[in-house]
Amino acid sequence: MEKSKIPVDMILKHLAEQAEVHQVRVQKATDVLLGNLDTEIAATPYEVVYEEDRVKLKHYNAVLPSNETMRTPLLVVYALINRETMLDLQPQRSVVKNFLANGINLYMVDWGYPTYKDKFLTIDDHVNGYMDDIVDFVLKREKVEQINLMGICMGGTFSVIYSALHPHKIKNLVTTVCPTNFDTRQGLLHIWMRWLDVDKMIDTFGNMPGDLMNFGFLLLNPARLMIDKYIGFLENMDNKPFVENFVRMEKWIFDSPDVPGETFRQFIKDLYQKNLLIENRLVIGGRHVDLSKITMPMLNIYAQYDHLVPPEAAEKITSVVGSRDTENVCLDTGHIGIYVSSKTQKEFAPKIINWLKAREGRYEPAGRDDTESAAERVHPSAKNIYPGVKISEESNHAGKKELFFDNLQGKQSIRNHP
Amino acid sequence: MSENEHTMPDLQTMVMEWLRAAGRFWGEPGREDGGPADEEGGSRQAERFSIEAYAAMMKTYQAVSTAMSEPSAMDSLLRTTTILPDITTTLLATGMKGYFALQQQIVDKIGRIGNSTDPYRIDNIDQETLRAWSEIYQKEIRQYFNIPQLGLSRFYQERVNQALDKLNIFSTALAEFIQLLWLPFEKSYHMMHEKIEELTRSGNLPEDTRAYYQMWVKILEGHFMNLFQSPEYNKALGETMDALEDYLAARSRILQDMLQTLPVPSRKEMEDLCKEVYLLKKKIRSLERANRED
Repeated sequence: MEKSKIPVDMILKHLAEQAEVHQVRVQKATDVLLGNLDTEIAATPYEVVYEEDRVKLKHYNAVLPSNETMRTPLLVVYALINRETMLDLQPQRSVVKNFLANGINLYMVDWGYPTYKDKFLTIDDHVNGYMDDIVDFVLKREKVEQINLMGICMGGTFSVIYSALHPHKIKNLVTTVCPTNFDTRQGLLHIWMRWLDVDKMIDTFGNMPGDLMNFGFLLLNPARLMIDKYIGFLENMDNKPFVENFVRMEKWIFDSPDVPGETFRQFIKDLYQKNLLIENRLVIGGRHVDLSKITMPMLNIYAQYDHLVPPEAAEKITSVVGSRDTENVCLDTGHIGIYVSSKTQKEFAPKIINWLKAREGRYEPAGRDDTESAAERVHPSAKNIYPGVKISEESNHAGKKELFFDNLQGKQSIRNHP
Repeated sequence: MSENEHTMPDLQTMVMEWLRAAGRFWGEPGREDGGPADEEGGSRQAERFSIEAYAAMMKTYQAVSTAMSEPSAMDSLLRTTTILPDITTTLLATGMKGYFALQQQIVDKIGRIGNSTDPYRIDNIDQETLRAWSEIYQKEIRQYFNIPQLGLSRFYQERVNQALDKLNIFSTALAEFIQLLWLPFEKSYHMMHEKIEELTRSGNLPEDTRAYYQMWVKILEGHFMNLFQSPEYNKALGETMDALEDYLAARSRILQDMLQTLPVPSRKEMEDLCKEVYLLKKKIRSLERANRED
């Protein structure tokens, strides 16, 4: 007998099998969901050492003896969108834990939750106000003259601005998935921000509501973020570690503080719409942000499949700063996957640690009282000894777009396919 | 004919008689109660005032009833009852016109279902259907919310009308936006049909049901990506955001009016205060910094 073109029997057989599988899964899932789930995020111990208004400075407890800790502290500045807890989302994939285990003396800015009274705060207030106060505090507390600065996403943009305005306080600059060139049509965000009437929006809302931004992020790919992601959850809800990590990610994604209105207005108008930073025309607090003043070593890491900060938005900065020691690293992942995917855990944090250690010159216990001048310190890489090596070549395919989803991260990336 | 007139009085005569009778009925108690009340002493002053007020009201009512029972007034009243259905009909016609126009658009749209679907093309978006209700609202209904308001409370009434108008515009824009977001689902559905048809013909239908889901979600994703880059989507998104902001601003103005009656500061007052605090803090910070540097 000839085989049917429509294998009804096989389809029905599969359906029956799957129905059984689902029934067993639901039974197991009930036990998982009703049991004790460890969904805590940001569990690594820290101490709040400085507070100003809503802003806090976290100092993570060292896990190595002081003689194995890097002398120059690292200050991490996260974006005003979402929270810095992403760097410490789950114990097995924690950038924070990784840094501490490798002797980084780690400080991190917690921007807190802006309220209506914060709507007047500008980029100047964040960069020359809070950030500069924090840097001064760390310099004094650690008795050093310079710190290492690492900026994430919008926090990276702030860090670039800060390094241009206060270069003498920064020993090394690390930027990760940091938007600096906004003249690109890669990524929907850049397209949408062009037409946005930000004045009307901020005049109406005061601060930019976090939930509204989150809704916008979901709309970047509703098929994956609003359907497929939860189908994936249903298929794995009998798997306890999966459920725990999924919930951790959900906690992080939807923990979205509002962005102070004037900061958002300025960021959209001066950067997204006028692209003033990369064109070296940005003025913050009445001071010109001259990128040629960024003469310290700079490591710039971005993600090949980042739909929020596409490579074109991130990679150009190293070619316009004054530093001769710059390095671009493009990782084979997306905007969030760079911090949380198991694959990049082996590349991202180790790369930063090794890069910083190579420029530390020597290792001394943190907090020693024998400060030395920055000029006396040896920069092992005063010249470009690590020229812009990309460990992953950027895709140059064009044509139909296909989307790739980083495991569990909830925010996907777009890859061009032939 | 004349007999009929006597035996079956016309509507006008009946109403006139009823109004006269009503006037007399309400007029009598007023006269009877008013007399003794006037003769009472000052201790019953309050009662007298109320009786006087009642008598005055009855006199006014009697006068109005009498005037209304005049043939000319009755003509006017009856004319009103004649044109009332016309007014109602006009109002209903406006609403029905809009409803039918929308129905027509939907019918046209349904008629097109089954046409071949171009893969990953969102450029043939049915703008007319999307715009139908919006235009009806703009042309036929919106002006009712812009009727000039009169009197002491005119500003408050205007603000309420404005908020209702903005809410309607926002709801319309949101409906259009959601309809746009629905398009990829619709197109994916048609494309899946075509794909299954194709696979059936070639005998390559997957046996695993999950493969169908994967196929569908990939098609859906492609359609969304194309939609999001289309000018129509960006326009609709912009209009929806604009409408939302207009509505929120209008709603906020009403809330401000309401807050004025409560012992709490208004948003404007809080905003002024916040700005003052912000500027003061900024000044202090800069002084502290200058002090440190000295």
